[in-house]
Amino acid sequence: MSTIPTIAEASRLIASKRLSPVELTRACLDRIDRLDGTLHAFLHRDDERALASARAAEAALARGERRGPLHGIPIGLKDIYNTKDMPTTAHSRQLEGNRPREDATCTRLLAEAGTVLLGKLATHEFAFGGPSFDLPWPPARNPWNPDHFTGGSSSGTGAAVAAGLVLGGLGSDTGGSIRLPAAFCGLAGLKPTYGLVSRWGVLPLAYSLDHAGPMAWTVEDCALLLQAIAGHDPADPASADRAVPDFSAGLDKGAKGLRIGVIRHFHERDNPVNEATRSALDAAIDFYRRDGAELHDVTLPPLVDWRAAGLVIMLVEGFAVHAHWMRTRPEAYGELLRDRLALGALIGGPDYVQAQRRRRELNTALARVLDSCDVLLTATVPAEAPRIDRIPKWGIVEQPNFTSVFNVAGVPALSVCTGYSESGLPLAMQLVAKPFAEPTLFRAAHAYERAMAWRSRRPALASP
Amino acid sequence: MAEPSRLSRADFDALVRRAGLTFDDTKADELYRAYASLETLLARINEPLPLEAEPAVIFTLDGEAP
Repeated sequence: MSTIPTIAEASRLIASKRLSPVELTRACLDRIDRLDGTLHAFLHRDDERALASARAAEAALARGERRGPLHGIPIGLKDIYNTKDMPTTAHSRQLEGNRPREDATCTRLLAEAGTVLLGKLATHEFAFGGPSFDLPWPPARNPWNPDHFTGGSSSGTGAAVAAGLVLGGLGSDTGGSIRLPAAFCGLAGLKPTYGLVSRWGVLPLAYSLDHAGPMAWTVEDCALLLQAIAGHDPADPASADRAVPDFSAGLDKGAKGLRIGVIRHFHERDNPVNEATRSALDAAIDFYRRDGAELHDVTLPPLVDWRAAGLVIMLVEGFAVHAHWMRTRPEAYGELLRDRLALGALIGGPDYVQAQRRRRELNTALARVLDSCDVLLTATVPAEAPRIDRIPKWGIVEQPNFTSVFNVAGVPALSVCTGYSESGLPLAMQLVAKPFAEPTLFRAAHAYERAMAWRSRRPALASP
Repeated sequence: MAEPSRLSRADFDALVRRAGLTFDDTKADELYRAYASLETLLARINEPLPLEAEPAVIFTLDGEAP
């Protein structure tokens, strides 16, 4: 195969027997052979297992036993998803050689959907410490320019999808870890509503902020992946017991009639974005206006307030998860994660409760704004990907970000590519919707994405 | 980095010991400076709230009363 298909394209070709899952899997494995020495997206790959899965998919399809649109599609999982047939290390010495006894719920659901798992993908250590250069495994690199940051923490999934090493995959998102690599690597990435996707078997960072979700080249592909993994799971105490809608059904409705609130103060005042990002956001706003959406500016509490609540909760919950190892074998962590987690040990109990009280107040303010909007729009990141060697360790406490707002709130948020900077690096915007309104979010994002030409553009190094 | 910490270095070191962590002096210096940045965020979440402002913690009860 000379071009990299989207999941939807490959699915249609497979269904009509014009593409073999084995051929598709071999094409991905060939790209991994050619590119992963540069990108370091994979921590573990199992080619034999992948080819066996692809052959099994092909045989089932030949018998007319198609499981659905993901049958025969090559994917990867961030290495915090438990896999009983592969190691799960969280990119950390602490779990080197760890072999879970059971699959995570998401791992199992994607296998049942007929996907072909190619391997486990790089992450910032335990989804928080990265990019780290003092671990036995190097950090993933950005396919658009390997000197630049992928974003994180789902760094391997971002790099692997952008370069076509897999057609889609899963990341996790506690403060932006799906949407940030989606933005820097030029993909679509969804942090679903808290409770929509099971976190059982996904290694935790901060229980009340963690979300599992899809990353793929297009919004349509994210909808297909979400369809496979959404739903109630009694094993996850935060799992919502409610019916799962058809996430692809409304994709083609267009943006006409949608009420879109622009959180302009986030990206113009609270954390001003660079000119390229702002121009792209303005162009997206113009697109929605032309497409018949109703746009108006909205005001939320300032970014720094969301960041304060979110970071305090993340640090405290994160330290609680790691307290034993932090006290007994801290040397097994990379410096970045160890130092960041240490701050969580220094926050008192009353401060954690205050952060949770403040969180409810912030969420009430957001709910009021969402009463008059179907979708909110702001930046995902303030600029294109910085160089990978210029990521400050303490940026997490010094700069508010645009993404953690929606982890604090638990509402669905999606990053979508808005074009490229002069240096050829991707730009992005973030769209947000009411709880469990993923179909509306997909509808708005797909309307924009399908109207733009850049989905056909892939990183130069991924070209044949 | 933010303003210097309102904690003295000795108080910060006591906080670290209470947490059960151990750092060399260089690392403790670095974390002391980072903690000062964190204090500005802690101040924001500690602005007064009404007494009835409950935390955003949700849980469900399983089962029925006997």
